[in-house]
Order: sequence, then C-alpha cells, then structure tokens
Amino acid sequence: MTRLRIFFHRLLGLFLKRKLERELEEEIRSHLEMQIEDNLRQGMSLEDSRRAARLKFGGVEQVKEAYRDKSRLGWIESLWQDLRYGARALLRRPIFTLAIILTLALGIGANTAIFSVFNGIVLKPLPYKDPNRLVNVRRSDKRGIRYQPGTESSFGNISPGGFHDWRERSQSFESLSAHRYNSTILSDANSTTQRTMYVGGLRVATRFFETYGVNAQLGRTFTDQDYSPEAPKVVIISHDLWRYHYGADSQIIGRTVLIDGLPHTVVGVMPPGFWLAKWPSRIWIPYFFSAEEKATRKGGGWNVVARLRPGVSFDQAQNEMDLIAAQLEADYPENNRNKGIVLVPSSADLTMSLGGFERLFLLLLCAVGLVLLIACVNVANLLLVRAAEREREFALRAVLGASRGRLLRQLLTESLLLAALGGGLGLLLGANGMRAATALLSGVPRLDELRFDWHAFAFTAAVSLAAGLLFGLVPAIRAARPDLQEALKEGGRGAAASRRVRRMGNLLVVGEVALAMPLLVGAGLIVQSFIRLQLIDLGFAPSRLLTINVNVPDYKYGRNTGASRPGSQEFVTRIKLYREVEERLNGLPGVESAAVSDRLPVEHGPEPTGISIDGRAPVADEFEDCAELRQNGLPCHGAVGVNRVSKDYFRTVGMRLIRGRLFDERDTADTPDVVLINETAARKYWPDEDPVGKSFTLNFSSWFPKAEIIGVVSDIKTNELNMPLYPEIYRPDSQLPSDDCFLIIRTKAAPEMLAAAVREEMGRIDRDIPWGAARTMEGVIAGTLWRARLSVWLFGLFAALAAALAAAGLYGVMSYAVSQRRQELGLRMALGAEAGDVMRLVVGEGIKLTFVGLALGLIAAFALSRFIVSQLFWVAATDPLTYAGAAMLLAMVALIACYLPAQRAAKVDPLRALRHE
Amino acid sequence: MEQHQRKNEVLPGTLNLMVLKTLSTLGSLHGYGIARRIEQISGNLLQLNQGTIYPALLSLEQMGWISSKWGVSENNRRAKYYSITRPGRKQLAAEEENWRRTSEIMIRFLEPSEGA
Repeated sequence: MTRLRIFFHRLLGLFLKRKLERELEEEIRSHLEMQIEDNLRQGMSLEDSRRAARLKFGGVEQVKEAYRDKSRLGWIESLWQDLRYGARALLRRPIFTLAIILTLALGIGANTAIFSVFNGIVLKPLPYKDPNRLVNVRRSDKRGIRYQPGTESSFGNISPGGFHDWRERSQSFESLSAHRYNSTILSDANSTTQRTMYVGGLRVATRFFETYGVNAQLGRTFTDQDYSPEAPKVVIISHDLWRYHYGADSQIIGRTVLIDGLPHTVVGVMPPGFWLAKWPSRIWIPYFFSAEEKATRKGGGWNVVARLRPGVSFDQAQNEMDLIAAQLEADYPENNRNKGIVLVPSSADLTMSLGGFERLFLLLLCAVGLVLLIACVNVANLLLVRAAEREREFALRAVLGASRGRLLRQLLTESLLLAALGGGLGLLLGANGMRAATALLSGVPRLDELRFDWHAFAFTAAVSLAAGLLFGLVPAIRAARPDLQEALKEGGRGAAASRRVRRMGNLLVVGEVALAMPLLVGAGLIVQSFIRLQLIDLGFAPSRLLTINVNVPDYKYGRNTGASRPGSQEFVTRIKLYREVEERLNGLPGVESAAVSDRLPVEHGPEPTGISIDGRAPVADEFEDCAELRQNGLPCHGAVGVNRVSKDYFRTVGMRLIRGRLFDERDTADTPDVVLINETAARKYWPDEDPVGKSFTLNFSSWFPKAEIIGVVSDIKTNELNMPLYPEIYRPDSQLPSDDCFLIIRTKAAPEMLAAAVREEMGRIDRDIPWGAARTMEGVIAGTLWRARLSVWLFGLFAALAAALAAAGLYGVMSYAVSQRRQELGLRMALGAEAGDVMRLVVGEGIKLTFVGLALGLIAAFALSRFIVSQLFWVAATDPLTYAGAAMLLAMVALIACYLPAQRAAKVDPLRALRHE
Repeated sequence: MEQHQRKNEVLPGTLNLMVLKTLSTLGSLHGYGIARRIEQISGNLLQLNQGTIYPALLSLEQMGWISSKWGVSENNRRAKYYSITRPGRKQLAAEEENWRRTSEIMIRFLEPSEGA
C-alpha cells in the first residue's frame, strides 16, 4: 500500500515540478537564514555565521538533486527524454520517417483488412457443435457408390417415406432430421399496409436443431409438441431477420407474423451465423408428416441431415446405410430399385462455398502477402540506410561518454516509436479498410459477422514490427562496437562497412522491384479484362430499363406442383394476372413499353432444359436434363434455356424479329402451343433449314408442351457477360405462365422515377403481392460485374502500393549511395565533370538496379501468371502488351525515384565535398 | 563522556526514525528545528549534513507518516511545518520496538558472557 502511495506522490511530482522546486528553495533559504541567526546570536561574525551555516548544511545542489530524484519518477523522465530525442532524430529526416511509417501502416492495415474479411466470410466455421460429425444423407441412382469430393451434385434428395424409413432402420446416428427449402411470404399480422417480404424458409422435421447442435439465442427451438397438426403454428427466425427487419425487437418472442398468409407465433431467434450455405433460410417452421406422407416413397423433396453417434465412424455408418438400402430395395421394389444411400460430410454446407469467390480471395491474400513482403523489405532497407548515415553520430556520442546500453536504448526507443506510429496508423487503415470492403461486398452473406480480426492484426503487426526492430537494432549493435576510430575518420564512413551496406541495399531494392512486377502485371491484366467485359455487345440497349421482381404468393394463386396442366387453377390465375399487369403497366404515363418475364437478361445462369425435336432421329450424345423426355420415350437432342414472357417482351427489351412472327393476341391457352427461338438456337439445331413451322417438346414437368416454332428473334446476352451466347426459346406466358416473374419496363425518362408509380399500380391490381427490389437494367448488369470490379479495385490498389514502395526503396538506396560518394563526385566535378555527367552516373546506377529487378520480376510474373487466369476474360495471362506496359510504368517510377537524389548529387559543391575529409 | 573525534555516519533508515521520534516528542516543527534537535540529542556524535533532512522529509511524507503545512515561524518567516500522522506514530512504535530488540541482542553478543 505504501508503495502505491509513493508512486502516486511521485507521479504527481512529475506535474508539479516547478512548484516543488520553488518550495524547496524557500525551505532551504529559510533554514540557512535561521541557522545564520542562531550563529549570530552565539556571537559569530556575519561572515563566519554564513560560512558555518553553509558548512553545516552541506552541499545545496546535492540536496536538491537528492530531493529531485525522490520527488519524481526517474525512469519516466529518462524515457520521455529518449522519446523526445528520438522524435527529433526522426523529424530530421522527415521523408524517411514518413516512408517507414507509411510502409508499416500499409502493410499491416491492408493485410489485416483482407484477412479479416477472408476469415469472417470463408474460413470461420459456422457455429455448430462438432461439425465434422454431421453428415447429409442423400439418395443415389446406383447402389454401392461412395462420396468423393466434388460429386455432391450427383446425389438427390428423398421422399418423406424414404426419410422415415431411413430414420427407423438406422442405428448409426444420434439423431436424424430432414428439411425442405422453399420461399415463403412473410408479413406482419397486424398491418394493413404492405410489410410483406419474400424470405427463404426451411420446413423442418423433428430434432432438426438438436441434430445441428445449435440452441436458440432468444426463446427456444422446437419441441415435439410443436409438431402435431393441432398445435399452434410456430416459427423461428434468423438473427439477421430479427436485427434488420424487426429492429432487434426485444419483445419478438410471442409476436404473431403471417407466413404465407397464416398466423404463426415467433418462439425463437437463432444466433448469428446459423444457416446452411446451400439453403439460405431466414425462417424455420416445423413440418408435420401425415401418415400418407410417411408412406409416400415416390418423388423427393427432403434433405436429410444426421449426426453420427459417438464412437461410430463415417465408414461404419455408410456401410450400415448400404445394408439398409438393400433391405429397402427388397421391401419396396418399385420405388427403391437399385437406389443407394450415400453419406456426404456436411462440411460443404457449413462453410461458405463461394465458388469463384474463394479463388479470388486466395489471389487477393497472395497479393496482400506480397505487398507485406515488399513493405518489410522496404522498412529494412530504409532503416539500414539511415543507420549507416548515422554511424558517425553514434560514434561521436560514444566518444563523448554514452554507454553502449544508452545508445541501444536510444535506438530501441526510436524503433519503438516508429513501430507504434506505424502500427497505430495500420490499425486505423485496417479498420477503415474493412468498412470499405464491406461496402464493396454488399450482398455477400455473413457480412454482418465480419469483425476486425485481432489475430490477423497481431500477426501482421508482429511480423512487420519484428522486421522493423531487427533492422533498427542492427546498426545500434554495430555502432556500439568500439570501432570508433574507423567510424570517425575518413569523412565518417568506414569503407568496407559502407560497401556492405550498399550491397545489401541494392539487393533489397532489386528484390522489391522484382516483387512489384507481378502485381503490376496482374493489375494490368485485370483492368483490361474488366474493360473488355464492359464493352461486350449485349444485343439490346440497357438504358432506361426498369426491372422489379414479383413473387406471386402461392397461397393465393396456387402452387405449381409439377402436376400442373393447362387449365389448372394455378395456371389460369397467373395467366390472368400477367395479362392484366402487362395491360395496365403499358397504360401508365412515362412507360414506353412494359412486359413480364420469368428471367432477367444477363443475370440468369443457363438452366438448360432438354428438347426433343419432332421428327428427328435420336443422336448418340448424352444430354442432361432429359430425364422426363426419356421416361416418355422421346429422344433428346440437346438443351436450351427456357423463357416465359409476355407478348410485349421483345418490343420492350429491343430484340429484333428475324423471321416469322412474334406472339400476339391469338396465342392463348386454348390455341396451339407456340414458341419463338433465338438465332443461336436456330443455328445450332436447324442449321440448314427454316425452323419456322417445326416443333419440339420440352423436358418440362410431367406435361409436355409440344410447341410449334413461329419465328426467330435476335440474340441477347442471357447469361453472365463472360459466358458465350446460349440457345434460348421463348414461350408466351399466356400459355405457360411462370410461378414468379420480373416486370421489365422501358421508361421514357429515368427508370428510377417510375418505380413508385409501378408499385402503386401493382398494389391496385393485388395488394398481397410482395415486392423485390426495383433495379435498373444497368444496375443489374453492374451487379453481375461486382466481382470483376472488386478485383480491379483491389489489384490496382495493391499494384500501386507495391510500385510506390519499390520507388521509396529505390529512393532510399540512391540517396545513401549519393551521400556516400560525395567526395568521389566532388572530385569528379572538380576534375571537370559537368552536372549532367554526375547525374547520368547516379541515375545510371539506379537504372541498372531497376533493370535487374524488372527482369527478375517479369520472370516471376510469367511464372505466376497461371494463377490469375480464372479471373481474366478475353485477355491472355501472358499478354505481352501488358507485361511491356507494366515494365515501362515501373521503370518510369524508378527513374523518378533516382532522379531526385541524382539532382542532389549534381548540386554538390566540389570544394566542400573534397574538404569533407 | 569522551568526545570521539570520529563521528558516525547516519545509517540509512535511522534518519527517518529520528525525525519521527522528534516530531512525536516535540509536535509540529519545521525542517531547521528538526535538524537542530537531532543535532542536540545526538550530542554531536553524528555526522550529519543538515540538508539531507529535506529528502528524508519528502520520503516520509510520500509514505504518509508525516504531513506538512506552510506556516509562519517565530521570527515571522515563512516555513514548512511537519507533524507526525497516526500511521506515522504506529510506524514509530514498531521501529522503536525493533531497535530495542536488535540492540538488546547485539549487546548480549558483544558483552563478555557471564556464566551460562
């Protein structure tokens, strides 16, 4: 306790220095005067009194020193002194200091930001208990198959009866459950205005949450009571739904919401991050299987997930399932003939499988790593150079009595100062970088889980700072060696030592340039790729096109179960709806043309559907998506993309009619089925004949619309920009309506202005139809390019960073070289060399280094080029123009970096330089 | 009593004790007063630079055993007066006890032993 008191007193003493000094002065003066008085009273003379008083008192200065020592915290003061000195030393060479700090900051910040994002989105596993004990149980069309990585998509889901069979007969699992994904319409129970939303939902069987091993964050998960048909309807919502749609309402539990129009009570909220990558659901509803369903072994629809019993291995469980499959085949031959059961580890569902995204991130991570490397090299370089320049200073201080420890402490303080500033700035950059990244990545899932990754920061900081400290201390250790004579003479530099430093510096610079090249080349390639993507001919004009996606509620309009036929309720209601929509929207002021379509250009994947061309012989090739054709004995001739559009679609989008006619009023549900095809389809399937008048059948549900081709329309890009054109066919929605649709509207003025009016009109048509986002076509196209845009932005940034760092390094090394060679240059000038010659000499050195670096860098870039191929479009990874361009750019930057110290060299006054012995 | 020419140096820590005892006996006193008193009691057997009292007073104040206040002296001079605090008194008592015991033990060792 006393020590603490003392500490606080002393701390206070730091701030009250002057007051304490004054008071002590006064006390001492008082003391002396009193002693003098006493002496006088004893009969001494004034002079003797004074002298005696002083003698008795002792040394005043010593007393003051002793007092001072006790009154403050000594170590803080010397630390402060060191810091001030260090700061002054750093400020003496502001460019150097800035360069080092910025380098550290950029390396640390960039690395941390990228890694935080990568970690948060890709690496961090979702919050399940023992996720490697989870398996998906899938059906396969052949028995005895085992799972191999990459084959997930060849297995299917199971019928409700099959699920129950598996559940009853298996022993290897602690629990088994199943889920089915569908989109549902969520609305507020008590609102008369539209607060409806289209959300993904999972219908789940019993023990769903137990199998995954996740508990609700608020409320509870489902109990067995929730699964009886008379039980009150309940729902569990996801964390982000709760936060963003319901504003993190603390009273959410017990609230009633409408799911597909039916009231459900919210009983639980899931913790953040609970979702399955393939089925992104935001609500979970208990599903009750009726006795009939449990006996239905036909069809599919259910995804089964199971948790292995402790002690049971994956292979053991798989073996058991094989036996069960055999049993089932014996017991229910018509459904289970030759069907197998395959276990697939759930890990694919549980981490983000981002497809090309992953590869992109890895590339970025490498880029950042490269930048970090360059940064460390740069810091090392700069510090080395600086240290060499200060050798003389340190030698002098050593001569004047500074101990080795003191010098080391001084340098350590400086290095720490740099490290702290660099690290602090890096932290700021990293945090802001993450914010920028989240803005760029909007739409990517798990975004709300992104946290600043302290581990990444700590690691990167540690690496950079270790490099910094190491290279900061090396000169200290050398300076503290007693080679003072050597250091002090000859203008202050030992020749051998300085040569060594120069060589080191040169090596480092060459390294930096070499490392920067691949980044520059990569950036160049990506930028070109991006530009080319944007210049692609779309086949239509994307301006002034408004798109709104509409989800037609199944509970009101009927659900397309696959058994739908013309005349089915769900078709009739939709046909009527779409016709009304097209009519009324076309009548709105400001609308040039409006249409309804089930797909948006550019945004959709191909989604191929098999076709069987009438009257054509079967072909040898195997096609996918022909299962139903084959089941009905029809030969499959290929696959096309299917579009279901209203009759004004072509006019609205701006497609041309090449032959035949477009859809019109004649084509209704009662007239023969018609179809339009695009040029690519015509060329592919009817290369030598006129397709008009021919017909084909689609592999489309259990009902086969055989349609007659009435015309050919021009191609537009239906798939992603970098994919080739696809054969497409168009069916009128008056004959084959889609479940949901997009409104596509060509507006007279800016499309955004019309969104509200369109929504209002739709509201007047039917209030219960919920809205998706309204986007312009240009926005949609830009959206598909987000990945490319991100790459361009990031790669460009990193390349610029790398180039800047390399330039800084070059500048440092050149500066040092110039300062080293002052005498030599002075001599040359004295002997008649002109400023220009000197400059050429210096710059020449720099150019040599740069060239070596460039050469190495080009080789490196070439070697690494294959890793970037996945991100490129219509640009070869070895495009020579890009390489040349990058090299020239770097060379120019290097030239500038050399030029400045060269100029300084040329300004050297030869007399002064020579005199600098 | 023989007056030795050689004076003892002040043992570290004893100065603190002397100051505390002085303040405990005489009450509030300024730095000069304390120094004079110590001089008197030790009868000039102690080699003490009076000035060293001031760092000692600072230490004691930092440890909370004495407190200080500016006041006016007998001759109308501004002086800092020190007084002992309660924890100071406790410390004094403890140290006195300690010293007594220590010196008893030492004396016993240094006297020629008289029987067992």
